[in-house]
Amino acid sequence: MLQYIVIGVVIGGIYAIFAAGLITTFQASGILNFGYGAIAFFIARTYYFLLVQHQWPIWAAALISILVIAPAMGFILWAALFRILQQATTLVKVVATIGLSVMLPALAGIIYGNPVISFSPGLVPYPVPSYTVLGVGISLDQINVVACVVLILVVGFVVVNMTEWGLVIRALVDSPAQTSLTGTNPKVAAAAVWTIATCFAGLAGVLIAPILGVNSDNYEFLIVAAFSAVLLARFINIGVAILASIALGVVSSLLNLWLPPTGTVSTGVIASVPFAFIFIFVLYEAVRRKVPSNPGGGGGALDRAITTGGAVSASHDKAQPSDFNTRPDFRLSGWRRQKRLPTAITALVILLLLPVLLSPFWTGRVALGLAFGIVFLSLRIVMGEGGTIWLCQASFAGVGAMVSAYLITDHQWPLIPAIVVAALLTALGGSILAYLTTRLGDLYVALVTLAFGILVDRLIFTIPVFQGSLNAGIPLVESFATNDTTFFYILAGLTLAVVLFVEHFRQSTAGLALSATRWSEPSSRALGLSVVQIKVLAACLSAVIAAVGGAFIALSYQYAVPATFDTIGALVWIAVFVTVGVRSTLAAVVAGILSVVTPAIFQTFFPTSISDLPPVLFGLGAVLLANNPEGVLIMHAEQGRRLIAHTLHAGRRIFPTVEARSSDVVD
Amino acid sequence: MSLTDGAQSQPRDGNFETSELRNLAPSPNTGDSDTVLEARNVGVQFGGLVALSDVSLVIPYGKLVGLMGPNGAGKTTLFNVLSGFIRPNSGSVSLLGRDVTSASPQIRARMGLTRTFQLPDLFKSLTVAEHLSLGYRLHHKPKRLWTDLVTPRAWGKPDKAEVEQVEKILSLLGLEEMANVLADGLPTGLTRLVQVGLGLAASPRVLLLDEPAAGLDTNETRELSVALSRAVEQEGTSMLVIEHDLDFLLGITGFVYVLDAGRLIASGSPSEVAQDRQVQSAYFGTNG
Repeated sequence: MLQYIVIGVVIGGIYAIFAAGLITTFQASGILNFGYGAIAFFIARTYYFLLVQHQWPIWAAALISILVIAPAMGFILWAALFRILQQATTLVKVVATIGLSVMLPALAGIIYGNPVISFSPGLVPYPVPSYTVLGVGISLDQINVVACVVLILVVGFVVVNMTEWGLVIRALVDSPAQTSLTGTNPKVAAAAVWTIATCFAGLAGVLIAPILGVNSDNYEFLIVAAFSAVLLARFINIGVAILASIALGVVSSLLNLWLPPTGTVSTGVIASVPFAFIFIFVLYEAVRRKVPSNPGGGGGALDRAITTGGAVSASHDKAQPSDFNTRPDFRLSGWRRQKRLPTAITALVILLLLPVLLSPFWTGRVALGLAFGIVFLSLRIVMGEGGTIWLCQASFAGVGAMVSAYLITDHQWPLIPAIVVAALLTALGGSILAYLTTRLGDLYVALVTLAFGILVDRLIFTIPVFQGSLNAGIPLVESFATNDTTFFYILAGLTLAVVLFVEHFRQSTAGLALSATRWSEPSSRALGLSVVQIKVLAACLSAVIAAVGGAFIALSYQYAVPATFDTIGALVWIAVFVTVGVRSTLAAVVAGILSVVTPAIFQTFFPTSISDLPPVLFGLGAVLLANNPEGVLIMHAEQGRRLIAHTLHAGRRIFPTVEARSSDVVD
Repeated sequence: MSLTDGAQSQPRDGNFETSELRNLAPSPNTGDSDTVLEARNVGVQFGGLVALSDVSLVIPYGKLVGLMGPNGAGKTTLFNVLSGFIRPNSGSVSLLGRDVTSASPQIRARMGLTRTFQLPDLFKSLTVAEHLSLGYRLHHKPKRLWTDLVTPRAWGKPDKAEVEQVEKILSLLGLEEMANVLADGLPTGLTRLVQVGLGLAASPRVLLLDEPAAGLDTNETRELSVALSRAVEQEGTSMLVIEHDLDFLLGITGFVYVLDAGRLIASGSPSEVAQDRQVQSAYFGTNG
């Protein structure tokens, strides 16, 4: 058993290094960096590139990657991204850092190449010495991990609690603006924190490379596991996070001892431990009726006040409707309030002509994009209207696909009843999840839904009925789906129906109520609204739409494969969707098509050396959200409108600003 | 001076007698049929801090009552107790003759009690008119929350009655021109007016207003006081208004309660409480 505990301590130590970095940067800026694992991977990949691919000595490779590139990267990311993100909404913060996690591994692939690296040297020359401690063999690489944890704990405690810098960092948590009033430059302090934290990310990345290899998926998985410890530490206490990390590692390791050594269930259970911790945490808080709201960090009232640009005046004597964003008159019918109806009809006509203009292959790609668009439309309700950061939508789509395929292929059910059953299952899951998370703060909801998705991946999708023969998934063939053009028109019709439903929901009383609960739960409750009912309804509808989309994705592939719906991999879906426009129905469909067609274009027309460019572009788009939170479609639509107005009116400055008109297209 | 002098009992028809509301027990405390909202011996403690102690007050039908007190007196805590956001440690609250001490804010809202908040808290992605429409529908057409999902009603024009009610409140608050403006970015003064409108759109039996005039200039304050007085006179809405500005209260109410350090220290007409030594002491630290 001691052997397993030692291994558990090492695994927990890896979680702890990441958790400490996440908490430190969160405290300095209020940003939970979903890209922290990707940064660690990038530095580890750089180290491997120098050490192995270019035969540099260990000390030189470590010096350049950990002490030169990592801090430079940390500073650049702070200056270009995190500094701007500090006052952004939680959704933008999460998606921008998800963008980072999508972009950096792909960028590393383009720069350094894409070999499979299952083993990489660490900071110790080969052969790595091994020692026996209490009868247990432990390598110097593993000792390094534990030593790093101890170093972080000691240095972190001393710096945070016993130095002036620590005081400044703690003050930054509550209010950078107030901190600046003490004569301290909060930007310097924040930049220093991000720079040092990135060094630690690089160090961690290099240290764990000998244990896990240099594989971006492993690093992403680790960072998500570290979120469990961050959550248990309530985003504040590094000591608690380190203890929680060690506990997670030891429990996972001991399960290896106690569960059968082989089998997908054992593997799934062991890999699920960190995420099960998140769920236990939420249930525990629900039983205690202690509802964790958004954690602190990133500023207080003064910070918010001084970042509004002083635009909000106390008086409305001079306020005119033209000073603000407006919508069509409330007395008009729902149809006439749809300002974008001509645009939507034009888009529909173009879409319907595509099979005439495109080859069957590209028609099929667009059809698949429409299926993804349906999944994105489900996010339009829960994220766009509800404002909830829902990171498990791929799981609902996956359940829709896997259950439909199972019922159709293995039990010969007709298509529609199979999809209905799958959708009802996801509705149930979505409702329960929404009920549990209704009163949690945005960031907690993001982490809990992410954990839920990973649990579905590890525990549900790994059961044999969904793995199919040869673990390749379940075939799903329908005659109408074998013809690209027929399938396209069916999907176009279905997408149109879902678009109309989403718009119908938005205009309904329930849609207004969902918007209300998004912005102010107390005011909603004071009006007599049940926040729980509305959020559960939105989650339920969203899950059903996702399930339908998932089933059609599987129909398009003619195979339902769990890996298609992997939660961590599908974070790129979130990045694409939010980048194109989280609050536009049309943008959801466009995002779906882009997410499929863009990689296909690169694979077909460009050299393989830049096949990783689409994820870089998607990730970069998400990162750029920091400057354009409404998304690129709205931004470009506005630019297009300005250009047309400029041309038509020969430069007469009669058109309003981007800011003043942006809401017109947010419909 | 008695608070219920001249108050008229105005029970109105409504849809608040739903099954969950019927489960509320009649209040044993309410003996006055003119009373719409009553707090009896309410006490609230946060750990060792006594926020409210033995506070009793009544709000009659169709009357506007003021609530004053220095910062930290417990005014907003009392609002939270009356509206159901905080359950008191002791005492009881009755609304329309029903004991609602344990009832949630939603149930109280369905019974006809709405409120505003000290910090304006609007629904940023809705227009001013949509705020009022939502408030109207939730109280007058609550089933639309669900039936809209399965009928094409959302695509049609809004109901005539809904438009009339929204237009009436917009006019009352001088917000006609801002009807189709999104709430996001509205100045503080407008935000407060929209909050008041949101409360009025529900045609409440009693409306609790937490510092509605804060941040308004003199003209706006005057307009607001006229609007509130009209709402009381024309709609028979009862109101309890927290306000520091005694002049504002003088213009709209004949009765004021004064809280200090969680205790009710005075009540009466604004001029009476202005002369009260305990009130002067609470505000100025002196007896006169």
